[in-house]
Amino acid sequence: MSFLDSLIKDPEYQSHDPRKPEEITEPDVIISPDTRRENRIPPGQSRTKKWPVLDAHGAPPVDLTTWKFEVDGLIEKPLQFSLDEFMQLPVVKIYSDFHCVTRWSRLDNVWTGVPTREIAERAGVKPEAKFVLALAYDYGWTTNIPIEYFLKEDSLFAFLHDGAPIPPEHGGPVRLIIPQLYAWKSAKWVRGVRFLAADEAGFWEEGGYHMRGDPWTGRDGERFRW
Amino acid sequence: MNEQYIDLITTFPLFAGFTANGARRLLDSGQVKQQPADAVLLKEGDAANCVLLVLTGALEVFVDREGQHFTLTKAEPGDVLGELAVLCGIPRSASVSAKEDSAVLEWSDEAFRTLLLRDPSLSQRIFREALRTLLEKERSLIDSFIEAQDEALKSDSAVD
Repeated sequence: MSFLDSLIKDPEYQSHDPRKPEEITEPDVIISPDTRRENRIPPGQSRTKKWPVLDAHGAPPVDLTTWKFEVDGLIEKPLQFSLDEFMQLPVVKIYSDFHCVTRWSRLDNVWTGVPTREIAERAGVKPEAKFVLALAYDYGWTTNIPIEYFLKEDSLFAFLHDGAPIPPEHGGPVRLIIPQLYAWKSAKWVRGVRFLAADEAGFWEEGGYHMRGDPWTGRDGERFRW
Repeated sequence: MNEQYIDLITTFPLFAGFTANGARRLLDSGQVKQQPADAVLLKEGDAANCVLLVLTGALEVFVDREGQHFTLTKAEPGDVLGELAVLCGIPRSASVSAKEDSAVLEWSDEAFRTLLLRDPSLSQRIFREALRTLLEKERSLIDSFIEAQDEALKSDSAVD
């Protein structure tokens, strides 16, 4: 794209209709099950072709040379990775939709990154762990996720979106992606995860947002606790 | 110093679902002010530069017209005051005074806007509450109008 084009055009704008899962021809892409629904837009949501930016504090400064990813809590083996080490881990590609609690959904995304199951297996998660707290670089921001959602086949720590590095405003260098929950559970600028026996409210959850956040449950999805 | 208000805030219906940490963030984004009875907190016609959350005590919303004092409403712990003028960018439409010793959480207009912009759940709740208050005012205005008309009709027929 030329300089002028990049000024005029939004490179993240989707000019095409969302592909159907069966149109994804790459053999190694995991298809998120919600993309197979007849109506892929959850209740109370609308499709956006753009990729809006929302966050609690703006993008934090993240120094890639000192970036690290830590795993702790109810595990056999605490883990720590530099960005280089993290990039060496096995990767998957996920085809999924993205549902923001502010009522927009961006369909047809391909994420590349480390599957959450890979991290859980390496750490040796103890059976009593039932919840995960994702920790982020933006000033102590956290979010809580039931472990069964964290360990879904389509959950990953992504560093590419549609083949390109995830830009800082969208949570790069690495963000969590949990396609089967509202997108605030997909922590931007993730710096680690903690495995817990009891659920512990994260940043937005402390302000009354739903502890689970399933967009497909209920008349209007699980948005808030009020 | 503000610790005493954390649990209190979590009991306000407007902040249902807030945990202690969530309430602490609300407190940290503003300033708690103690107001003695009769103190005037907001003045009709003044520029709107803050929003108040009543923590303890009791406040009165009023206007003075031609030497007469009209109480518009009373505000209790959990009520938000002054948000419409801030959101609309207009001067205060009424004054607020303390009926008794009271504590309020004062958000600057900027802090309040930031809270709403960052938190779609909170802004939905604040707007819902503000609109409900406006609708109630409208309803009571209509009621007073009808009442006044009835009175006028009665006195007309009395003349006849």
